[in-house]
Amino acid sequence: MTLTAETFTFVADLVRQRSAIHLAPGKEYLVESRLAPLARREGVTVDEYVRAHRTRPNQMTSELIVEALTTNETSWFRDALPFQTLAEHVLPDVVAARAPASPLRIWSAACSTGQEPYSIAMTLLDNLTAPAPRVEITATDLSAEVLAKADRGVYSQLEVNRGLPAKYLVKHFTRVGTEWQISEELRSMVRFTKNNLLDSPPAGGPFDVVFMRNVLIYFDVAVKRDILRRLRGTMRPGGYLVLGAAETTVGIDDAWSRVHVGRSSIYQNTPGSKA
Amino acid sequence: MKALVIDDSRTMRRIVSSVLSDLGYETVEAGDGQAALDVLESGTEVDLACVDWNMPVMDGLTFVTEVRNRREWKDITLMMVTTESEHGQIVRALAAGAHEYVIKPFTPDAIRDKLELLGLLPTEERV
Amino acid sequence: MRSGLVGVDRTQMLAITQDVFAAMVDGGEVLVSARFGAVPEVVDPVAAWVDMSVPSLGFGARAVVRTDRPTADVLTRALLMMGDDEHVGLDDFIDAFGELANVVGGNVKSLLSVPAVLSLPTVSGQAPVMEDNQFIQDIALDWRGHVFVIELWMLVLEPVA
Repeated sequence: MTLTAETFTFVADLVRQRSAIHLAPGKEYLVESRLAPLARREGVTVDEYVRAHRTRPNQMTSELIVEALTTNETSWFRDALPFQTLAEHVLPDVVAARAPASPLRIWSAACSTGQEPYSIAMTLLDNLTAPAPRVEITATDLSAEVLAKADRGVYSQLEVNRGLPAKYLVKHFTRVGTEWQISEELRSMVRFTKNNLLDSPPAGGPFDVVFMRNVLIYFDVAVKRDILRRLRGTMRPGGYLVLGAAETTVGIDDAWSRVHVGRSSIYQNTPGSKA
Repeated sequence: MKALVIDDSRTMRRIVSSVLSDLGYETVEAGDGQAALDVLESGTEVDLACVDWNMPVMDGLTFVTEVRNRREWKDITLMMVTTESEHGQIVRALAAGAHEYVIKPFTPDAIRDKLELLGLLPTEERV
Repeated sequence: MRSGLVGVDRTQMLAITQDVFAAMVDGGEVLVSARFGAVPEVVDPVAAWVDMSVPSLGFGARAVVRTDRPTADVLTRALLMMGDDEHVGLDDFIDAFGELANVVGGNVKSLLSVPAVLSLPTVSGQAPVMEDNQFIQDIALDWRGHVFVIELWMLVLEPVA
């Protein structure tokens, strides 16, 4: 099935305006494949999905379309803001709330090739003050292949160019041929394991912080609700959930409290709520 | 926001400028470090300079050092955009005062990601 | 043996070139592959190269990119975001093709076992004369049906006192 020229032009313009990413003619396949899950959820074709949005535009759908086309899970410190929030608001709170001697447990869900959990680890090393708690980051994905790459911690030049601050590149990586190897210190903080969000949560909890970004957008409301409920069961009361910019728990699973931090929101597993 | 794009290759200046203008920057260009200093001396105010390393007349590392020595230019964010990619070279550039470092070759996203980290995306309040 | 200082293999040369083309001209897609079989005779050859020198050791290396002018023009149009039938002037060709050699060469330099200084690129209608120098490695590549050759040479430099 091919996309109409109107659909492609509309999507390309939208993405260009909001992200500076230029979808050249010939990238129709990308629009088709990235928007297919969103359209399928509504039971329509990609053309129909985009046409409906053009007729009655809304903020949320615009964000979903841009997100689907620009999301690149292979970026370090993706979106920057969540890691700032982690350093400035989440960490001080969870470190204080933690039982003495218990480790800080973090889950990075849908971690792909490892950039997110390693970015979390770098943020922790920079922001935890002595005596620093032991850190256990559990990173999961559906694909054994990406997990194997993540665990090796070897990245190409193009990969380290994507959002990794230069100071961290020189501090935590060494060059091996044309590639860069992440340090043992960071590797030892992260454990990679296969997990499907539709099954039971991974071992390694109860978690103080969960990063689950740009995953829920692909599921319908009932599945989102299931995932969020199971998540509460594996999190410490008072722990924090970080979602993608176009995602929320509001109206889906109201046992979470939304916490506004600057321009963004995170979600707290309200102490005392029932899983 | 305004950016100064410094590279002896016109091709590379065009590529970098095009990425920046897509992000909402106004750009000015210079073909070497000295020409870039002349642009700044003439009173052109910029928020960001993208700086190649190997250039005739004055190289990018010297340019970075010169800018860092001048109090009135302290707010300019300096981002190296260069094919120099050894660990030691990146350390040298950061020590000289560069804030960020993009290795050539780069994708447009690489520039965007770095600017996001630096809080220098003009389209931040994108809607 | 000084050639041991240039421990760059063909897989690495391929990886570098793939990254350069994917990032700079092919929108992230890898369209460069190693070429099997002989390199066809080039009608209108062009070459661009950069040197990496270690003056204290009297040693250097040269990375050369060779192709034909029509292919270099296709590349120039892609780099400069020109239309498919736009005429490529000599200045544009020299600048764009030279920058390609610069980016490839800079990445090769990072693989040398000693820190080296990169030269500005040279662009020419013929391959550089390399008589006193030692050939190290080359690789022929296919890119969108065009052929590129990347060569690596060791340079013997005048020792610096």
